[in-house]
Amino acid sequence: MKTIRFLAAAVTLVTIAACSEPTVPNLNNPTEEELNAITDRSQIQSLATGLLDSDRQTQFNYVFFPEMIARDILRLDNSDPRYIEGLLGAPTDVSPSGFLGSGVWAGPYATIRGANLFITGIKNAGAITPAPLSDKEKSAAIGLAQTVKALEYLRLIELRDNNGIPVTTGGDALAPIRCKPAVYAAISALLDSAITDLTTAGATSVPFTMPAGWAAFSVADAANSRTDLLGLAEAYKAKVEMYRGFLPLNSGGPTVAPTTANLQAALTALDASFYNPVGTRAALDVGIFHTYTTGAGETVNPFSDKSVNYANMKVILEGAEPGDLRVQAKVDTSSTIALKTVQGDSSRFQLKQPSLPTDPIAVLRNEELVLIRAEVLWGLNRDAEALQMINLVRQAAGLPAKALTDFPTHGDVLRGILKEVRYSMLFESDKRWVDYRMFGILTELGKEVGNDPIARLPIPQAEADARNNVLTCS
Amino acid sequence: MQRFTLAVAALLLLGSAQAASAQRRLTGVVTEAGTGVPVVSATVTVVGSTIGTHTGDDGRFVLTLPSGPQTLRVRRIGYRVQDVAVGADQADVTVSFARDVLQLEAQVITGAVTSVARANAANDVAQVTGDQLNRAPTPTLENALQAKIAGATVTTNSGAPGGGAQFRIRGASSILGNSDPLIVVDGVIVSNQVVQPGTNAVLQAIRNTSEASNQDNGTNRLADLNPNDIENIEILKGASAASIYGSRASNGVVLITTKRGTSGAPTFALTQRLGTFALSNKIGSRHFTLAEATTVGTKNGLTAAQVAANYAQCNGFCDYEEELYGNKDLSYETALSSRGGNPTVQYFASGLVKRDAGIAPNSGYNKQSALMNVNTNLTPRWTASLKMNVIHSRAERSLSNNDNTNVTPYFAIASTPSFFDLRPRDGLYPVNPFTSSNPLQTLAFIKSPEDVWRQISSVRTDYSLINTERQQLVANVTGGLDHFDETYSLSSPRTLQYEPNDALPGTLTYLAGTSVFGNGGIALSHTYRPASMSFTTSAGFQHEYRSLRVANIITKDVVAGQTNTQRGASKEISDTLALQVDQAMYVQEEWLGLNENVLLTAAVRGQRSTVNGDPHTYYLFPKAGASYRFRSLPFKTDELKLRVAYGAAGNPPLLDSPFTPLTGTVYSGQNGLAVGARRGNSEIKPERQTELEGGVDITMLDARATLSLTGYRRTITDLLLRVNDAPSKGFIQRDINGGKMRNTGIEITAGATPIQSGPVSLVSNLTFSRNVGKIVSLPDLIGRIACVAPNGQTLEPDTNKCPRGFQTGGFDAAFGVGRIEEGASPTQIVASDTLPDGSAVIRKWGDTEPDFSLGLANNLTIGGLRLYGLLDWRHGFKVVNLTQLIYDAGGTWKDPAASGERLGALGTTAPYVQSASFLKLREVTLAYALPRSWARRAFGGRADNASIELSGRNLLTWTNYEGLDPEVSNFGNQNVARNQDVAPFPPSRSYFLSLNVNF
Repeated sequence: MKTIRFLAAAVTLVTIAACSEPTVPNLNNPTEEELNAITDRSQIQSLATGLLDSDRQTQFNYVFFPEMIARDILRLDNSDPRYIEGLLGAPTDVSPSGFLGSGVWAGPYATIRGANLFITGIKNAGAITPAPLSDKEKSAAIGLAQTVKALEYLRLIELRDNNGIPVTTGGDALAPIRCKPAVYAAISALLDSAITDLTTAGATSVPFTMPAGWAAFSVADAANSRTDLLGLAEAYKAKVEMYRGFLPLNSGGPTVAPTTANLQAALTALDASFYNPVGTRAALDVGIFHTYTTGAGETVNPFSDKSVNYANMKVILEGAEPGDLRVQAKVDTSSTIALKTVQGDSSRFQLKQPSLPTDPIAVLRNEELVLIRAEVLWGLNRDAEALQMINLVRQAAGLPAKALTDFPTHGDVLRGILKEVRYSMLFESDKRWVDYRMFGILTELGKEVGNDPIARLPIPQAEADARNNVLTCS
Repeated sequence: MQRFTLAVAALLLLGSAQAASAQRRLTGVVTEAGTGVPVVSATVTVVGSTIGTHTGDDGRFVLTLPSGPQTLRVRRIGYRVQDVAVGADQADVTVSFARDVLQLEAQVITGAVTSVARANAANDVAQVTGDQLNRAPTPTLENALQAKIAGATVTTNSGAPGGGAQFRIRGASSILGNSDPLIVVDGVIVSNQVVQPGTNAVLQAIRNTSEASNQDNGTNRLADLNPNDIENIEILKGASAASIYGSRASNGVVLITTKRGTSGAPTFALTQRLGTFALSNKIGSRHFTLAEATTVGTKNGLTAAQVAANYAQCNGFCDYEEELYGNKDLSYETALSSRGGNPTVQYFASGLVKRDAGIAPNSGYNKQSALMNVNTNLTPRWTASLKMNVIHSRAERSLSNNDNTNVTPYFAIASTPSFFDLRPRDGLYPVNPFTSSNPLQTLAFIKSPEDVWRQISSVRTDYSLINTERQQLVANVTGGLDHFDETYSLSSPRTLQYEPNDALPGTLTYLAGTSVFGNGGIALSHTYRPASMSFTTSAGFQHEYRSLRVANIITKDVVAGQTNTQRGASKEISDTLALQVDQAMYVQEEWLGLNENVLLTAAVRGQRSTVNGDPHTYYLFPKAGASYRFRSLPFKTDELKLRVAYGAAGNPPLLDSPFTPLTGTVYSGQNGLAVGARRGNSEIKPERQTELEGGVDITMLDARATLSLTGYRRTITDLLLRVNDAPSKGFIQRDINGGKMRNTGIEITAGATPIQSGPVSLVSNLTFSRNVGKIVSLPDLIGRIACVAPNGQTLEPDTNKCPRGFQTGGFDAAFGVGRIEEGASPTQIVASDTLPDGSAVIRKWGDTEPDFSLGLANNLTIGGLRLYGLLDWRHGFKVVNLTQLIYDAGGTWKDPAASGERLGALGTTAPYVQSASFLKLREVTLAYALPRSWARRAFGGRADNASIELSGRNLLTWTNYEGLDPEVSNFGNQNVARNQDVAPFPPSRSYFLSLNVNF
């Protein structure tokens, strides 16, 4: 009897336990599935902040790797020999499986996916609290997201160059690797759609607060200003049209004729952008920036490690003009810095800007647009106008204007422009490396530890593995 | 289990003995063969009756026997069962009781409530007794198991004090899933989790985050257990034995039984050890001439005069490994235990206080532990046992492993030429011009205490519902709780050389983790014994709960001298929760028949878990086994057993596998959600291992030699894989089930007593194992790697002819990384190579797993003198020696020409994938048992025996490996891409002088 009673109790207990249905949700993060349906404006804010932050996470490698290749930065880091072995090594020395070869790849593609998720969320957002999105707000938000996608593709193709990159359509299928011209065309089309959206939105602000470095560009298409999202999209349009225009020079060198139609399109886009030909520091510094702070949960500027981030001494030795305010602001040449040598490369100059945890880094500034205009004008054989452009940046740098007579040949004008590119874009952009490659004169960057500059980063091993190691572009 | 069963049996026997008709009285004494020492608490029963008793303190017993000749059976754990014939009119008897040095008589746990005699077990049995564990002092339990179990390799991750070792049984059983075996202490699952401490806040092995990383050299919590408390460890190696533990048993199960009380007057055992740890290997550094030093120094901001002054101070060479890791402070261990009780209540209680002094400044390991085991007989039918174990440990493990800030000591040493004097002058540490930190300053000021307070309790009660001669039905309820709180605080003062480099001088972290493992079970076990056979049926239900929450506060720009994380200007907080609930039901049938010569077993377990994509489905894990004993064979063979077993077990998915998380971020004061890198899989399920094991166990020469040969093949299907997604899809990784992996291997366990004459005996134990792992197939989702064409000269142009595969783990194929690849070993190391036609390829250069492992223990006793040694040999495996790369790049390797060759070959071949085979003298002990009279004179009249031991651990290593220690893993416990050597904590050897007294 006792036995039966015990068995009955046991069976009851087990049955109760076995029929309770334990489930555990994700306790640490919201999931993408949860955000498929946007119900509140705060969710839009979160996704937009996340989207721009996602781009911010890419910025360090996007600037650092090319600037090291371009003989501007030196990483003198005993803890990782690959900076010098890879970035300054022989052209095949960047291993596709290491952090250099896989750099600036997964990050931009994640941002692109985030942008697509954001666009879908915005499009589907119905009756959300506290107030529904207007169609114009939707267009403004989508226009920004498309511009960010274009920015990501630019970052990708600038670093991979002739290797090509996949241009995704947002689905789960593996997108084919497209060659450079096709990628430029796709970016151009993406920007056209952004321009359409932003024009539709008109003088409407995006339905969220932009980060401090982007806030000046919050309006889609401001009535009396080009410092707006439309002006930003047009600026990128100018950049990609310039790349398309100079495509013939990539392999042929600066004596080959560019495609003038694209260069003309670049000029048109520049005029519609926030390009502003004023030679003051304040005017040239108008643009978008990624900002960094030390607040809780925030990201600090990843350049802020003085112990390993040095300036390549060539920045000064290869003809920095005395009194160049750009150099004074960015390079720390104080005599108290000791010479440091790692793996045979030495420096005793450090970065001054950026070097603090809170230093911002520009994403795109008017100064770059002025230089793009100089290059485009040079490509159109309008050397005198090109010279006016570089004299704007020289003026802001406290340097005397250059005259056409200072440059005996058309080719010398290009070198003159590229010299200003070096100091104007120092430590904030890949432009120096990309430009030398674009004009087919990469080796003019000079040898470092005995090697010519590497031309591009490889397609990362993880991407190659997913494609059966078939990496030809089309 | 065994002790418990005996206790119950003895109790029942005692009860009925009262009623038996008294015929005659027999007195006897049980003494140990060879030594003549009385054996306490042996069970003496009369074969064929229910009469029985226990021996007392003096080994004596009294029995009332039926008339006529009888046979007595004497049993005790650690001794071989002995049958003694007693003549019809014999009044006293002396039993000479032989120690079971080869553990032939052990019981083997087969389920939650069942066990069988080792002689019948259908699986290879791996048991380590408490005695075998504690033959030489051990820093933590894992170390004490090295080389003692065929098929189980225990590999330390670094030399840091306080443990940290990978326990791998029969090769890598999972690629993504948990790699550690399940740890069960007295029937209760306990945590073996690793809470990573968070040195990443300073070292930045993972850049741009201060959160803890898997390169932080965390410790798995098995290290908390006190080896002195352990009676026995049994290892169920795989699915064929362990499927009763279901969906987390595929890495094997380590069943730990702690010591129990015995009835009788209290006895005490005291062990006092004193010793020291010492650096056992150094890398060495390049010697510079003054001219070379001047060249190097002036390239790094020194004047020629400064170089000369430093050169003179160092006398040309400062040995920084010795400066940093030369501590030989006193270590100690005091262990006291007591056992005793009466027939109703028995107890075992123990306490431990120990300190292992670290070889580095501010390093070491302290542990205090108290344990109480109580067994009671509440009624004749009802027994209960209660266990309470409280442990505190404090590990100070200093800094080691990969970094990106040049703070880890070996990074700093490797970047600093040996002529430069880093030693403090007038209390000030010189700024190191060669790299970011002065390692002497770093280790002198960094504090990194990790405190664990842990409490393991369990309750078990058995109620005998039916108890007749033929039938027994026992109900069992078991509950256990394992709770620990772990805190880790890292303090890196702002005055350290490297601290201002991030422009936020000073770092403080405070990490707090709370882990709760709760489990409860109810089981019924029915035994039916018709003539000459027995059926044991058991069934049960188990519920498991486990949670872990870890919060970490990291703060930088800290006011000098402050210890509170609030005092930092820049703060980061991370908080991680994990919660899992599992439920399982099982049923098992065992049939023992044909005069106990045949055992047949079958069982099935169903288990569901909240970590599975579908938390409601029960996954089934069956098992079956058979064994047959042939007895009384020719050629001096006592017995030969053939056995075969088959079973299935699982390994659960990772907790976050089902979800596609958004990652939180803050940008410009706004709370943001960015897309994550990993794609979730709502259909993720446990991977499934099926294992077929067969073998033969032979006992020969009157039980003086034993040999077990085992072969196994385990197949893991529905592999849990974290595959590289094409990053261009916006995901880096996704977790999937797919593909198939196979481990095939052999194990040999041999034991012998080649010498056994009077006071002299030699016991030898040998373990050998070889495992070959292979990825049989991978799912179509995974792309094909670039492979070499059959001509060996070029790359295969048609990639469709290449195997599927993906790289995982490690840093860079130029150095050596893991690759999961069809047809290859899951633990292979691949790295760059160049084909004859000049094309680059990534190919296999070695494996992290040895071709074979061999352990050999010898225990020689001559009277009171005992000499014991244990050798551990692992042959044919590779390590990626990145510590050497740091030396090479820093220009400080002792042979600059070799450095240049390696750096030149980097990327075109794989100079840093290096052979690491080793032979280690793990344990050595020389012990002397004091004569009893001496013991009594020295420790009072109650002292039974006393011994003095001199022992050492890891005294000698023979290897060609040029790194610090071939046992190394920068990434801690993981199956794939282990053996990455990146500036580890260096290894030490230890010497202890011990005194053991029993009274």
